[in-house]
Amino acid sequence: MQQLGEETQWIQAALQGDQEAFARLVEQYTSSVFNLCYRMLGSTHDAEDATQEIFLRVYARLGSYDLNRRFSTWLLSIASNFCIDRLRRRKFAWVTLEDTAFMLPSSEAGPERRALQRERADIIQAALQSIPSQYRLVLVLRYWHDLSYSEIATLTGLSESALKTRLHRARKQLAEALQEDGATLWDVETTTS
Amino acid sequence: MGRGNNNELSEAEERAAHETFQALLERYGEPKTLNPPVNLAARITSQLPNARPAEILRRERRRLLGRSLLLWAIGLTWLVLSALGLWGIMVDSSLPALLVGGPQTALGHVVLAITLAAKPLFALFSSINLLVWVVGLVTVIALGWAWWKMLTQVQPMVLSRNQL
Amino acid sequence: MNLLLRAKLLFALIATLMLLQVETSYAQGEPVEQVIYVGPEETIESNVSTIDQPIIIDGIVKGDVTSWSADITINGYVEGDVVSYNGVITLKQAAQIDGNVLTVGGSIVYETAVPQVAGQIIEGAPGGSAVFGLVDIIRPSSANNANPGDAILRNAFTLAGALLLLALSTLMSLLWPHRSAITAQTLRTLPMRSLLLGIITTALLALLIVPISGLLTISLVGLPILIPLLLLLHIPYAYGLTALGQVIGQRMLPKQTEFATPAGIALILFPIVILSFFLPIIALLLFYLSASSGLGAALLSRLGTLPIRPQTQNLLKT
Repeated sequence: MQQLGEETQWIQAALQGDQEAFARLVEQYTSSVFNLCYRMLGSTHDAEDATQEIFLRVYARLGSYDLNRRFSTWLLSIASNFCIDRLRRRKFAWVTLEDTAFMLPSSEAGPERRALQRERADIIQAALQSIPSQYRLVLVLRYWHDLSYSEIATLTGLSESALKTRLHRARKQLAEALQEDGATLWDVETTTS
Repeated sequence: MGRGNNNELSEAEERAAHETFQALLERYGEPKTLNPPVNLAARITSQLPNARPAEILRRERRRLLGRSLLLWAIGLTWLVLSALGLWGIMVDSSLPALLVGGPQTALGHVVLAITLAAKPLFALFSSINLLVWVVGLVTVIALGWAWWKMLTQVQPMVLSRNQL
Repeated sequence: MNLLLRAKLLFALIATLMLLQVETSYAQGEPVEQVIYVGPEETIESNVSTIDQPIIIDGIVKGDVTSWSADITINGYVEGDVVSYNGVITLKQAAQIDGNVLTVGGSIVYETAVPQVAGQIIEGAPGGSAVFGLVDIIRPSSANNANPGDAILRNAFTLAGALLLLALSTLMSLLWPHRSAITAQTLRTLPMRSLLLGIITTALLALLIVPISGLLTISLVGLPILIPLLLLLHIPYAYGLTALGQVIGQRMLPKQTEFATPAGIALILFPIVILSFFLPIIALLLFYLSASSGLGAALLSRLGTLPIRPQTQNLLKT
């Protein structure tokens, strides 16, 4: 509760242009936003860029924040919309002139990166990337951010029953994705040889 | 996917599925929280613009307005040019040239040449009767739908090594 | 047989085929085309427009007289303009034109000392004759076909074009090695789908070109950019050719990866060029068909950035 009171003070100060106050908010929530972006967008690099842009957006829209809502939920809703939008735009990212090999999120160049992915630890991340973004979002919000059903429902604009259905399907999809045996990502070397 | 059996899960089923899933995640050590890079928060705050939120919002709105105004301006210009061109092709071919100084000037000469050169092309278009246009439109819509369907039905797949 | 001998034989073969084609077209003579004739007592209240039918005006036309590649002979009164892209405009003794006269790739012939034209006379435009010469390749007009020299020119032009295409497509495979590899892989994995998608794309483009060029034409500024636009539109086809060339080349020369792609492209283009000497339209269609297969693969793999595999389930979209 004390936390909330402090937060409200920071927000009101930030609205008046107090950037120090906004910095407190940023410190408080960077990890949360970063992790959401990491799970949604697939790479730490994209997550960093996204976090930055999201906080810029939050700063600009601070005036429209309703003090009666939880700030964290409002913040995460901006972050979620941003990530969904970014993912949608990714479909057209191939329209460049570089000789980029391919666009699967875990495709960052470097043998170390690829080796990392083959470790057990990152299999969940890879599986997350392979399911549709709408399902990914509800899973991340529920299991990585521990939001309640009603919070996720407000955030995504779904009714609670629709949310439950979606969550159920999302769990199934992830479980199926995990069952692909020995699944590894396309190796660039083998393509060009 | 139909509503069918998935619609109403009982509380117990819901909880069971939830717990099974959590166990599944746990097998892989999830959910894990990553630590963001140490300086990320500092970086973000240092790059905040120097104005108040309200001002930032105003600037954004203004930029969007500017962009849409530009689009409207381009559209309008194209419309005016097309009207002019249509008039030059169908009624008086020397009018466009006259508007830029007359056919004697270099620019007017070029404009006149373009206006005249458009005539045989335009004659071809106007000779296409309405039925052909309609059939063409229907064909384009049908083909476009098929094209979109084919293009978006492939998915990037996680491939296994031995499938290469 | 060594390489030099093969090259000489090949050259001899091409030369023979070209001469053969020239002879046959010469022997065929000029095909008869219907002439549009406006007699001395006739008055036409509207425009007279043709594509390749010759026009002879002895009477009155209260409108424009236009053609694409046909010759126009005026010996009467024209209230509007006289325009031809590639044809010869002849103004005879009794010709009187209230408007302007323009020819882009053709010429204007006067029979009087002072041409009776109220407006401007514009003859030839830079690049115009080259552009409409290209049209000639596809639809040779009767007048131009009678000259065997033109046939040789046309064939040489086609050959040059094919070599240019070979160079461009090979360049693309060198600039975009990863992307071309993935596109080729997609073509190999999903050949029918690529071809079908490519054909649909080509059909759509061909259909949409019509209204788009119409819109560009009437806005006047659009007309000059129409030609470069049409040329630019062929870049995806060059890329498609790269993919197909790579697939074929790698099958033929599995050991020599550097020459595989250009060899494959040459293998596709060569028969098409030969065919174009006899049946230009069929050859052109074949070219678009082949290049379309590669184009389809390029689209499926998102320009070679996404490897694709055929799937049995239909996953929901991302």
